[in-house]
Amino acid sequence: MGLKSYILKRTLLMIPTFFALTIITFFISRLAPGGPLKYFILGPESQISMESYLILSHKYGFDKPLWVQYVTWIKNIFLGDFGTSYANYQPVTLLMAKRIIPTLVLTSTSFFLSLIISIPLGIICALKNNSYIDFFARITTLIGMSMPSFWEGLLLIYFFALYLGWFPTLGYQTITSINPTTWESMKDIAWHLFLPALTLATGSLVLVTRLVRSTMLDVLRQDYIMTARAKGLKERIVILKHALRNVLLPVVTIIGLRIGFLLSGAVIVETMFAWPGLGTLMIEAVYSRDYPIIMGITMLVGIMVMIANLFTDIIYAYLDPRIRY
Amino acid sequence: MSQTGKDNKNEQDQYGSTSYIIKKIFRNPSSLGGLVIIIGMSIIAIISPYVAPYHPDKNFWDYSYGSPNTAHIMGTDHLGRDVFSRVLIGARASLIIGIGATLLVLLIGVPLGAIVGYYGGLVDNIIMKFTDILLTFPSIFLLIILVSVFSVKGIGAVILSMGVLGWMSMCRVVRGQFLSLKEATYVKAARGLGYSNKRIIFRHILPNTLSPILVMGTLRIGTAIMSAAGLSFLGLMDPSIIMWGTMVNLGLPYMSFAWWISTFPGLFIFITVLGFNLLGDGLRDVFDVKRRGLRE
Repeated sequence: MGLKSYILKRTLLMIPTFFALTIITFFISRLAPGGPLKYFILGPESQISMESYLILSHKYGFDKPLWVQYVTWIKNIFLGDFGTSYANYQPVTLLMAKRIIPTLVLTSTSFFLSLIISIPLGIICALKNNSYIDFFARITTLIGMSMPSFWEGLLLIYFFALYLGWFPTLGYQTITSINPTTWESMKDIAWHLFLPALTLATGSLVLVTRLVRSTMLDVLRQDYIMTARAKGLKERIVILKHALRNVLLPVVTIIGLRIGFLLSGAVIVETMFAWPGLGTLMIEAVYSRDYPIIMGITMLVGIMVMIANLFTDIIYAYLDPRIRY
Repeated sequence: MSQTGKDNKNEQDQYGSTSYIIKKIFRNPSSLGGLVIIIGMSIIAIISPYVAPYHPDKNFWDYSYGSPNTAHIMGTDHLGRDVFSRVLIGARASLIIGIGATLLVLLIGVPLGAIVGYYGGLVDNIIMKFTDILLTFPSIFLLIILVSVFSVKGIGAVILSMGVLGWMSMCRVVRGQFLSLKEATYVKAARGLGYSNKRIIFRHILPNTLSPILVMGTLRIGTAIMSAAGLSFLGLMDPSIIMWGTMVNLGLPYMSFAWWISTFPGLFIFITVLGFNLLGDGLRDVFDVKRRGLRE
């Protein structure tokens, strides 16, 4: 089986996953007692009459059988229509489109930030096993693993924003001039981005560092490394050409999973820093029980994670020919 | 990884005697540190209602936003409540959720993993595909939806949601252990003696999978406490329950002039999770047959 047919097979496997995601999302949100709309409109302090409720219920199709609602919902998703928000009657697709760019900016920055720090750091720790650097890195990663991201964000805000005043405490961009140039607004976003991206990156950073370190230690004990050294190769070449590729394999696997974690973590970090992304939209929707938005975001994030996993598997297959054959 | 113990000369010492394991746990600085923190937090959780200096909901209106002093060692919050007393009481909800959610995960994941790993076949295939799919999704989104459908967002609702959404990785690990152990010589011997499947699963294989379950379970408590802190920070839990995450969230608007309201509850989340991570890491070192073999 070549790489192409592997990719095809792997892509086809996404279909059942997609439907499982739709079923889980749809039925969990229907678990709300009396259906989603009832909770939204007929809350404890609701002023609305039963008649208006029935009219609305009919308008949103809640009087139809559950499976009809489900099929309609899926059909509309394929047409790019995630429904209409209960709260402000706007299409969910439009609301999500406004919020997706900040989330992507935040998560992708954190993603690359964590990789460019953790991979070299993990390698250094493994090469200098049991040295002071290694010990220090192990303690730091343990601390990083145990810190709730919102608390870490809080400490970063205290120090860098309130005490030193280097970065803004929250937000996505400042509106200073009427028509900022692209360069100006990019600089502004990057300035706002630093603290949230660092906060979000920490979890992945410490995990990948630990993984790279332990894998590198394993790889360095392998016979082929001894052979490479025995051939008289320079240590640098042994590490970079022989060891690194084998270290990267488990890293690629975990990176795929980390993307899901980053998107999850983004919910908390975005709330912490008032970042106008999908996470804050999700929380706003949860507060007002706006189920079309909640379901739409869950679907969107699920689809993004599925695509990320697809790419991860393809990269893995490319790096490790054993997968393909 | 050889869990069967066939490579070890002093098998009796390592698997037979609990005291040997306990000695190792106490000699490992990581697990010892973790244990100290966890025991300390548990004591705080148990005795906090009796030793807290004030009632957690008592308002000192003339001293709201009060900075830490001798009367209020962690200051007071925006409603004049003593932060120290609230932080102490907050240990209860965190530990209950952490341990409760983990017990539920064990209760679902271990028997399911044992059964599908031991019997295999179609059910195994279906369950594994299902866990694969569930593990793909960012669980916090599903957790948020699930918690949001509960009308009472109390501790029970959160434990239930975390258990329902969190058993997959436990199930996979137990299944993997059973898959490899069911071919072990002693299991074949037990089968040859005519023991029932139930007896083989629970009396012969399960005790040998305890160490990975224990390590995962310990780390899982930390994760559950972290998730609960996240949920309460997002304001998705009943605000009348005293939770560290809720306290951090409530203090955010005042952080520029009353840093203590948010900082101390966050510190306690950090210390508690650190305790479980230290213990989990230490236990992994203590139990890890492969690595132990290399060191000795």
